[in-house]
Amino acid sequence: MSELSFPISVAIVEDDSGLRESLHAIVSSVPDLACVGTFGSAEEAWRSLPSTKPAVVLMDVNLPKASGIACVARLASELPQTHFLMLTVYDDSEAIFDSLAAGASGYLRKPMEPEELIDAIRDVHRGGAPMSSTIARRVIQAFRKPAAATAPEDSKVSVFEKLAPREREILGLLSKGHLQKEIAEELGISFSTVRTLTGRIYEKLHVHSRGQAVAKYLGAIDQKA
Amino acid sequence: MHFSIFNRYSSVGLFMGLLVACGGFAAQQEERDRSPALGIEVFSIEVDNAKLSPGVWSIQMRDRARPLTLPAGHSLRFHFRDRSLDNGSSPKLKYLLAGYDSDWHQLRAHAQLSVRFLDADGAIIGTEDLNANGESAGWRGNIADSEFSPRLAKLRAPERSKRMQLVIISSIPEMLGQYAVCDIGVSISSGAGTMKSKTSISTEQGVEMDSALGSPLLWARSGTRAQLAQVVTLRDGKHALALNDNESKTFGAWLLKPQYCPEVSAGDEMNLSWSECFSLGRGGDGIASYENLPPGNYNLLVTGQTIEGREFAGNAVLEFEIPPPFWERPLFWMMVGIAATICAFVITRVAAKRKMRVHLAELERQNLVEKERARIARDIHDELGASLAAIALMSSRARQQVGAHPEAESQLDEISKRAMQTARQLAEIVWAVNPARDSVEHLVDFVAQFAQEYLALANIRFRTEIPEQLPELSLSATARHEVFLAAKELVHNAVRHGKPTVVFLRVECDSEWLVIEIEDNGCGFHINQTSDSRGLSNVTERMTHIGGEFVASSIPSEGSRMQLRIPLGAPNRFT
Repeated sequence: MSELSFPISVAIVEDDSGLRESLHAIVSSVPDLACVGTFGSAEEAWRSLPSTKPAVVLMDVNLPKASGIACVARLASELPQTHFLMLTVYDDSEAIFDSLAAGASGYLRKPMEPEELIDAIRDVHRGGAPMSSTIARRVIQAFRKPAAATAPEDSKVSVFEKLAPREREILGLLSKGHLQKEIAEELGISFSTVRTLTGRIYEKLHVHSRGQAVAKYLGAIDQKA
Repeated sequence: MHFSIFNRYSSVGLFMGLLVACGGFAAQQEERDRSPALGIEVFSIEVDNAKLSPGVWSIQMRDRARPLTLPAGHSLRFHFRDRSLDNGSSPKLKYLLAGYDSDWHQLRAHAQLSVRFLDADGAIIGTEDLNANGESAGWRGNIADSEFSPRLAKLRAPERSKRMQLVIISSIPEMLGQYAVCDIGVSISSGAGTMKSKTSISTEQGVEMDSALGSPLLWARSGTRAQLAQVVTLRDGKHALALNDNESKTFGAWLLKPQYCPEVSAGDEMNLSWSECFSLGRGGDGIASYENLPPGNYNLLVTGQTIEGREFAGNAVLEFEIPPPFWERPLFWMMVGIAATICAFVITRVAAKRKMRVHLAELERQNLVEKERARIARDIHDELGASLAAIALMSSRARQQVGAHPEAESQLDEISKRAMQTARQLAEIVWAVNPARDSVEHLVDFVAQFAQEYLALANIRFRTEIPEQLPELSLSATARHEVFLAAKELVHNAVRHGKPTVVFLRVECDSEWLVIEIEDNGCGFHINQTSDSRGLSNVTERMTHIGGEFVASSIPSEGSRMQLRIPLGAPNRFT
């Protein structure tokens, strides 16, 4: 970490006040992270975040009313430089996958060590893109399906075809349980390359699924708002 | 002379025949042309001795499409009559119920040679009727051509008898036909057996005996129409006294003139001999009676014969129908069938509706249970999960901040770990009871997620072989929880006991079975020796609980392979 670099600006969206305070305290406890805002609801977040433009947003998946996923779906295109790190209480791979498809960059299960949290924020800021075998399976399933109706030019060709061979290879290995560092070893490439390629898979998934995510979550926001 | 008689009768017969033949026709058509009533009619019908109102059945008779309907199982009497009386000659009547009778029923009446015993004053003190009925054996269509049959009668003179008088007479005026008697002889003997006299009572002597209306010496005509008593000249020239009765309202008779009546005394025995031939019937009116006619279509035919016995065409006088009782009618059974069908339909509908209602109520209940379960899951997640996460984080931070207090540090560390562990267990329970996570896909995800994270921490490679698409089948909360705990146990075991470098998670699934296999390349073990210490009985128990199977195999120093087989056939079995 260079001394000249700015601290990573972090915003926290979490409805449980106790947890929100803890997260705030942890983020504030290290010099390279700076908490630039805490929000108790998705509505507050999407009012303020576009002007705050944080580098990383810690986003609770299960917010009251509009969910964190809806919030990400709405903010992701407005804040292309912002990384969304989803916080989930229990393993809900569907919610995690939907978040990633909506534009999130990573996820973290909630009872976590403070170090885990700090590492995850740093990792996601560096362009890290964690992908478990379960998520990888879901990504493959998503790419197998025809593209959303909002992208008619893509409808004939599966987006799976649009993945580069290396990306497809990495996705396949991830889905079979290989970890990113193992893949780097097995393919003889650097860990950061694997991470970058994984991030690209997410970007393509995001493009592929945007229509669906918008339909699934933004419709819900409009109704609730 | 007898030719003239013959001719006269035959012409009358012919005329009558026409009348009767037309009469039947007329009876059927009388409503149309209202011609004078000639011929035979049924004028009254009784059902169980109660007269059927004429209006009812005469109207029904007019309607050809629907013949008269009479009830089954009753006594029926049809009164009929010959309406050709005015014409001066009547037919002998007979009837037949087509559809029931095989032979004609002749209306009967008899003629008789009657013996009257007279006292000193000429008053009748006793009568002996020697009846003739139907047709004599030698009857050949008319008296002259027929053979006479001899007859004998033994008589005893009653007290105070002085004379016996012979009378040739019909029993009733309605009698029709011909009856001829000749060769009459009486022998009288006393009660002791002494022959007293033997007399021939001549039918030969007389004036103009070759004429039908000749006057025999010994006999006198009598009756309401005396000329019906006639003389018939037979083929051999002999003469017979005859009743030639062609009118059913009148009668004629021959009486032995009193002065020729043989004298008898009380107690005398008489042997009366005579020869006779006859063909007798009855005209006027008649009754045809039937009991308990079975259901069917009937036609009551009544017809006539000339007194010489010449037939006429039968008259369809009355058509009627006895309908089968309702339970024998096709319509009844059709109605029963329809009613039964409707009943069955209604019952089925009601039953189906009820079943549907019960089913809906059950669905509603299940839905409520699911909603409630989802609500509890969400509440636990929202409240407890967040709190536990906060506790874990706070205690971790406190541990870092507490500084040089090893005891406090370790306790805070313990708090943090406990909170994490509790949160994790809570997450598992919440996951299991959440109806939104009830698919095979979610179960496999959950197991894979756990295995990957756990093995990553343990620095053991993890490899999966999972079908890209898993069937969209649901599993009960119980099944999901048991399978997850069993899989967790197996992954723990593999790491704890086998020290493997890689663990495989294989999943296979069809519509009936989900098979989850956990294989490691650890040191393996002898199944029979060590199963209990490795908690395998626990896994077996969990699988048995949900109707599944657990298959464990291991080769020492090569690794072990554990298979969980979960049935998917009965999704609601464990809810």
